Amino acid sequence: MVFASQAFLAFLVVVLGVYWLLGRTRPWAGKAWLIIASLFFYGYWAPAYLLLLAGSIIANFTIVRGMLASANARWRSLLVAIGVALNIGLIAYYKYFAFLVESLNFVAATDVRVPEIVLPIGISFFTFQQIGLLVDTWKGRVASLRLWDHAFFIAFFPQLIAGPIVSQHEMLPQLAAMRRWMLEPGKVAVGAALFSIGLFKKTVLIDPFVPHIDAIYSAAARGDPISILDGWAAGIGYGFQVYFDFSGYSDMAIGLAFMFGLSLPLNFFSPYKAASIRIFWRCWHVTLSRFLRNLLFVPMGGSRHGLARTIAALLGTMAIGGLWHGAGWNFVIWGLLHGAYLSVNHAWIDLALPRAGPLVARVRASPALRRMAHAASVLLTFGAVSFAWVYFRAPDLETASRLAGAMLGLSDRAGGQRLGADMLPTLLPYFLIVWCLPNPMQLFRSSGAILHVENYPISREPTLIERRFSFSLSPGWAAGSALVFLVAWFAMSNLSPFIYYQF
Amino acid sequence: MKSGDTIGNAQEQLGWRFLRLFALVVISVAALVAVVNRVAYRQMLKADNQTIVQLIDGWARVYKPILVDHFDPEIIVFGASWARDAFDPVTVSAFTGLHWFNHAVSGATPYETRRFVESTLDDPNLTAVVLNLDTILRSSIDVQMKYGFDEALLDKDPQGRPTRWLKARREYAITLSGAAIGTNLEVLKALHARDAGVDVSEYLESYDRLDFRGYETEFKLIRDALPQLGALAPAGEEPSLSALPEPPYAEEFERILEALCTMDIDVYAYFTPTMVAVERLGRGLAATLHGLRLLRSHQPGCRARLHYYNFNYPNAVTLDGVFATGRFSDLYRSDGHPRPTIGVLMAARMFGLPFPDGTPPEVAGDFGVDLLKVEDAERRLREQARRVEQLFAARHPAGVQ
Repeated sequence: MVFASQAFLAFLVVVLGVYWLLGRTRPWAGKAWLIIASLFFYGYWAPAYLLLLAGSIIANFTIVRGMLASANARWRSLLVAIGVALNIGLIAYYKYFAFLVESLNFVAATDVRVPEIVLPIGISFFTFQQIGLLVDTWKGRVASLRLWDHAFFIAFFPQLIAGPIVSQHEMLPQLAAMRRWMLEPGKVAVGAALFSIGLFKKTVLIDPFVPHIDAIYSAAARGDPISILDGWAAGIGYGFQVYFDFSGYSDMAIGLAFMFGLSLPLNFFSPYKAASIRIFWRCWHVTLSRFLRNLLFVPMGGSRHGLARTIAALLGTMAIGGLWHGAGWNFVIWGLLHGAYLSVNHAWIDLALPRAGPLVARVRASPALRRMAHAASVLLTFGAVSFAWVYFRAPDLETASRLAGAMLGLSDRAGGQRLGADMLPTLLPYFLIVWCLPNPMQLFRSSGAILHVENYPISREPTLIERRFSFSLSPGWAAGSALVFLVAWFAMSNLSPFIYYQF
Repeated sequence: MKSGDTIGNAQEQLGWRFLRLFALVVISVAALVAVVNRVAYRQMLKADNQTIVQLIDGWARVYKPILVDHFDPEIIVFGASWARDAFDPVTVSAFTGLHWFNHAVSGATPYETRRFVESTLDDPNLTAVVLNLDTILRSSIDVQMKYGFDEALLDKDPQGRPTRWLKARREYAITLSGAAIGTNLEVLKALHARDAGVDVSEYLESYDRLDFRGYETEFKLIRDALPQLGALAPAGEEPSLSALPEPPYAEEFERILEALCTMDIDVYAYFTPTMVAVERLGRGLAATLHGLRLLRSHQPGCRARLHYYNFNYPNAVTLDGVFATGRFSDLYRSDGHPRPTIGVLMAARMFGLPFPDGTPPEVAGDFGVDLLKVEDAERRLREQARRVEQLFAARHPAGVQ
């Protein structure tokens, strides 16, 4: 079920209504109701895959219980290895098997039939969440676990399909502390406002713009001439598409969870304001970045064993991160590009900055120079990220390379499409939003709905907009949120699924 | 100092106040919008208003699948804006004595067109479909550039199963969607202008007229080139059909044909007559020849009758303005799209009716022929394509792409 759909809105009204009634009469039953509702939410798309989800939950729960019941370190290690292998095997089969066969066919010049496997929705998210739980249990961070807490932790519908990827230490203590499952009007209000903003981002801000972006990728895929403007419009345009789409989804997920009194971790925090690629990854799909850092980058050596080892770990982590998004070499290249950006950033800090001490000091001493350097850094980061997006979005490597070549001025077809030139002026509002306005996490900072938001003091002093428009339970916010919701709701005629549903 | 309970109670009260106001705004605005849209929808159902309702640009993708089921017409036009502008359902219905519905939508993709066709197959009165092939076989639009296409509003889902909750979805679409608001605003504005006696070209783009001024250079180049057209021989050996690239969306066309054949619904497939001086006329040899091949291959197994017209070659319609003395075109819009006057001419040709009074005799002499009924259809199409190329070259003497 897609959040931005009539079916979901009807579902939400029913779930909230029953939850409210249960809260008044049987407050202990709320959790069970939310599990049932979550399973319905998942099964609405394809009931058969409910078995897969249930099987995954039960298998992982059994392994976790096995680890909790044993003090034998080797046995626990064996169990965690089996569990991780099972989860990776599940993803590998559904997501990568066809890709593997295709690649083997290409390398070995064979003609093995490529199986048609339907990817269960959200599989990358719920398996990653289970892997995180297994590792945490293995490391002794989980003291006990009940089946329905486990089921709730994995299946809770606001985060089931496309995250945020929640860690057990963020959810299980909340479940343990929740004595009475009742609606709290203040929290529902926060959730409704945040949900409305997320829906608005999706249906009003970005969905109508998507066909124009698609047109450029389609032209490139057909082999039509692509100019430098077309290329950059494709990269920047898709960068905005995926940002508004996915951050809108995350806002909605956080808002939905808070309607039921549960806080989810922050997933986006104005990533396009980042002045370095490292900061970008601290602000972009935060819960995936955290997962990759803790479970891949650090075990690969992290950044404590010299620059060469750091670069190897970065490239490996980001290549796998790219592959997590989709089974295709273009995703791997997207990941490698980001790995390369991060490597350059590390090399810059380790090697270049120490030698440029006087220059850096002069820049830091002058407010004007500092602002200019900051602006240049933001532009450079934004440009690098936009360049990589074409590999993420293009249907194949050839198309991506054509667009990337055009972005670098390697296309000699100066005329190209009119698409890019026509589209660039329409990008201005998006630049304004991502560079000049506070994000919803800032506006809802004090609401209690967002975990870890306190770790993002991007602006040292709240801006005037932040101060004036921070969320409160005021009539202005109520009426404003309602109008935002209405406009977003009326704009839902043209359904398009969230990008991250496919991952 | 306030106790925790007091703060909690205050928060709860503020929360309830917030939610009440939120719900009040949502419900009252939604109710108002729903009532207004419902009233407007009644206007959209009136037979007299169908020229405006079906020719207006906007959210046709949402409304037309609903309206077509309501009207249950005998003939439905499918295609993109070239077809939408060409067929005024009221005029063409009166002219042919059959009940038409114009289901064409601006920027239709081949997929959308097929899905729209599939959604109307069960309409009991439907006897024929007029299918504009330009955006399916010639200049295919493979990306949905216009809003509003929602498969959940069609009779059947992509697997051919009846759409679940169809009535509820459609009810929502005509009362509470952005499409409803947008369309109603446009339709009500146009109806108001019509009732106030404003000229139709002022409120309905399909009826605006191309101004011949500004095309003098093109007209002169074309006039100079015309006498030579018939005399010129083919420039070298012509490519065989197999050497011509198959249109990328030929499969969608075939699926449309199969669906219509199965339901015994006649097909009038055509290429739009585009104005020589304005449009490039499209180098359509591959598209027209493959269209011919596909229709011929389906005819033997088809219970329905298939028809095929290429109106897109130098003829009295497409040469509009070249010899005219007036200032405005009767046949073409300012953007080169055909006006409903052309739709009547095409309908006359397709349904074997005499052209309307006042039609220039040269139109009757050379404006389309059912290519499935003539032996030398392929030769004709090649000849037409060659003349198009020659005229195009004449219009662009500085360099032909």
